[in-house]
Amino acid sequence: MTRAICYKEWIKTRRVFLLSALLFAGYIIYAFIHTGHLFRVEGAVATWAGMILKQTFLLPTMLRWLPLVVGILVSLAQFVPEMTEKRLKLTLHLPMPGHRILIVMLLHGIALLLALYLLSALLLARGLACYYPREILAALAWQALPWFIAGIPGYLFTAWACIEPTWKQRVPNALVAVVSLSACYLDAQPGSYLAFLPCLALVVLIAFLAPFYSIARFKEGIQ
Amino acid sequence: MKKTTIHVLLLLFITGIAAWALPALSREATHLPGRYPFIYYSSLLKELCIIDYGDEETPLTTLSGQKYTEAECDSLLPLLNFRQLMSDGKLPDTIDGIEITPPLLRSKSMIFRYNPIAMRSPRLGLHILYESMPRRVGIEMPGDLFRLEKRIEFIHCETNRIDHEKSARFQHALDRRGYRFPARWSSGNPNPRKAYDEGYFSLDHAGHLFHIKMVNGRPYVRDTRVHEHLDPLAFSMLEVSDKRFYGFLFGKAGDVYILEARDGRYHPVPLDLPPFDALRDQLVIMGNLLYWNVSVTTPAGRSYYALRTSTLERVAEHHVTRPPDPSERLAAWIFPFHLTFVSPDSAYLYPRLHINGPYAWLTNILLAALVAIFVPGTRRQRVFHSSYILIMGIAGFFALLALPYFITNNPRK
Amino acid sequence: MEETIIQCEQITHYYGSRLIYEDLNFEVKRGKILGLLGKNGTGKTTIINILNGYLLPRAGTCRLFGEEMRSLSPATKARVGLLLEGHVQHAYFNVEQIERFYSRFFPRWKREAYHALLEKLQVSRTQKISTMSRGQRSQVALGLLFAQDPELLILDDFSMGLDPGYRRLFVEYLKEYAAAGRKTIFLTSHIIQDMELLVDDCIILDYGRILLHEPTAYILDNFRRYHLPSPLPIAGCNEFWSTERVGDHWETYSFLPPEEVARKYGLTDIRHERLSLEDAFIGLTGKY
Repeated sequence: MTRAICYKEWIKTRRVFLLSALLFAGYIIYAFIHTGHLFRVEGAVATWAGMILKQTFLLPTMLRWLPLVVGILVSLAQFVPEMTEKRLKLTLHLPMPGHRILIVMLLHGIALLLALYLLSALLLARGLACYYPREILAALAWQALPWFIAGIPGYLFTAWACIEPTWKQRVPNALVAVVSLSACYLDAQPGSYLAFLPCLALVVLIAFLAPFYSIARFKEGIQ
Repeated sequence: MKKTTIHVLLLLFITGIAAWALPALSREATHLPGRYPFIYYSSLLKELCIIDYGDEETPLTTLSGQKYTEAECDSLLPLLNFRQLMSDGKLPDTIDGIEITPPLLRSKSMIFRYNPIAMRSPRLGLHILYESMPRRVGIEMPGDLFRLEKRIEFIHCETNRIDHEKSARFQHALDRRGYRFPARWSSGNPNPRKAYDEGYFSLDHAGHLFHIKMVNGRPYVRDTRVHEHLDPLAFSMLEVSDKRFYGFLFGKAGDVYILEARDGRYHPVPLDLPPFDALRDQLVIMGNLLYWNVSVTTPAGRSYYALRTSTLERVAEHHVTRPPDPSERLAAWIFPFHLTFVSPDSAYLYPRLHINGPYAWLTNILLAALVAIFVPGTRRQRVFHSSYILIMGIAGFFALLALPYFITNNPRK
Repeated sequence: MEETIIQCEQITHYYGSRLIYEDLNFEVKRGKILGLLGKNGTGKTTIINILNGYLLPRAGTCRLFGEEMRSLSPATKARVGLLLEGHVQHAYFNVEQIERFYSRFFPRWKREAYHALLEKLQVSRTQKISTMSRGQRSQVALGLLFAQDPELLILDDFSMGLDPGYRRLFVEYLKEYAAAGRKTIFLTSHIIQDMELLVDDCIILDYGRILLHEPTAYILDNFRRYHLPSPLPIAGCNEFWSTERVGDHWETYSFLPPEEVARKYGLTDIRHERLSLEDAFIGLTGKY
């Protein structure tokens, strides 16, 4: 039954997944073109030194938003069809405990995102390892980590707002999501987020629980 | 998990983020940093003077209240305003019986700033080592960077490969001088816009402070032996053109030194200051030929000291308590507590809880009463809502607003 | 005594401050086809939502197979087939995918039943449901229900948007299906003609209450329209429904047999007629 739910989620998300994979692939290609350009025009020394002296982010800056955008897209692809014509009623009517259905749906989305994120990070790291020493790679990873993490609560909060049955309540939900996610976008040096990771874990945990709250409201028939 | 449980968790979570976001917003809207006066020691009046360039009539006021005009100000502070005096042709020949020339004044002038955030920042672990005796004028970027942890390794930037030959040379020099790996910290000044480079001061595993630099492409490593005098906490490099010292050394006991270079040896010379908390306080030193103007900013206020340049003994001091910030006064009235993720003394992000004093509880009581009276609900709901607001204040109120069942009731909930 | 499949007790519900019903009670026994009739806004879909646990009423409970509606076990959910208003389905699937999806959930899945129904439609196996006509979609939904082979079918406005052909098809299949397996069906529809062919029992809802809960046959046999001469004092008498003055006589409806009406008012000759279910419905609830 779990596999059947995943099958349904896959049918809904496969196009968005492909699109997201293309976005990441495009980004990775551009990142290498950008790095090559930096090395040719600025020179290797100035590029490395820029990281040390000015803490410039050495990759194209849209990496800030890419994981979040992809997380939101996957969430919309999963939950907008459920809410159109209230198809969620059919889903929850399946002979499986309601909370388990939602857990499987959410884990499916998270698994897709993690697969995309990890694969992209791995490809970037492998490629950039030709250009940069491990310290710079670690600094880049530290800079990008909160942005990647943001994708997961971004996905979950979108699910929260989607499943929420009333528009009136979706607005505060979205607001809470925006404020919570902004904690992933604070100005910080690479590595500054080290001690903040437990807080981000808390955000992810709360974001994971939030859609269950919306489901409970949905099942109460709140309009 | 039950809906009520999630509701409570969401409520607490939203209260948490509201306790961060609302005060941050209110601070951004009302923050006006209190200005500390600019205070400088007059080598003629032998007194600390407050300088306010906004006051065009009498920019200079002594601590005793005497006011001086702009022209008088220039003359009374010749070591601060020597460029102005030079262009006016009014630079005196001697001050305190010491013959002065513009090059001398220039070589003795320096500004040093220390921010405690440097102590609590993630370290990249890569450093730039410049040639300390460049053949041509100006510092040149080397083609490599180095890491100093379990060993020293130079990495060539173009190829991203370790330069084994150079690494071995430096490793050998470090070993020979008794440097014990792994390194604890290394501190240098990687900024290329300076006259010369003194490399790095690095604390080894045994607590010895080593001076490491590159001279004519060859390693120069010396144990400074300062551990015989103090327990070093941090070092901050400053390359002044008179080359009297290498930089500032902070001891774990709150002691501040300059590390002087004399006869090829390293002498820590203490600054005559009260204990300095290098993990919390800011330090600014504006030095000239005769006096160093030191300001130490703590969370409580700023202390100004004048030290004699030659001996670093204190000749004058003044304290100013921190000027009030309207955003804090507002916060004290509306937020009983708030969270911040950043702080001025650390680059690391983590939540810090601030208790803002007792007045905000009055606001809480008022808000709780209004909610109890005006927001509809069953008796139990009203009691819960108003006691939650009583404890959590405005953040709790916003959290209740953000969740359903506050204004619109579901009788069956 | 037959097993009670659906049981609703003292259901009270409001939308905001508008009363939908108060103290609603009814039950449905195994093997019955029960039609829920009511004008727009009397809360037919609301009942369906409450039954399936998608609406928490202000008060009261419903039970399906003895289980409380808010906490149906997966086993019980498997015994209930649900058709949502408008034949809603997961429209991003195609014909084959949706069958594959649902088949994993139900141990007694009857693939043939689905495909037998679908073969009559002019659709390919890879056609997406979202590209189908309303009628075709209704057949997909029905096919899925038949394949699931549930003991209880809950159908919300199955005739909505269907042309007469599909409506008739739907009704015939349902009837055959119910008769073959002693299935229980709870349904609502706007089109009462369809119900007449199908339902054993009727619940007729009025605003705020159940007007009538009787076997269809009883209504068809006993409920009549009467044309009575005008000066009779029947207005306000609770044995007559929807009494209206038409020209120089009364038009009214009643369960009373003609003999009794005649005796009651001392008339020898009264005009009366038997009614279709639709006419009966209008007689009971009025035109407005």
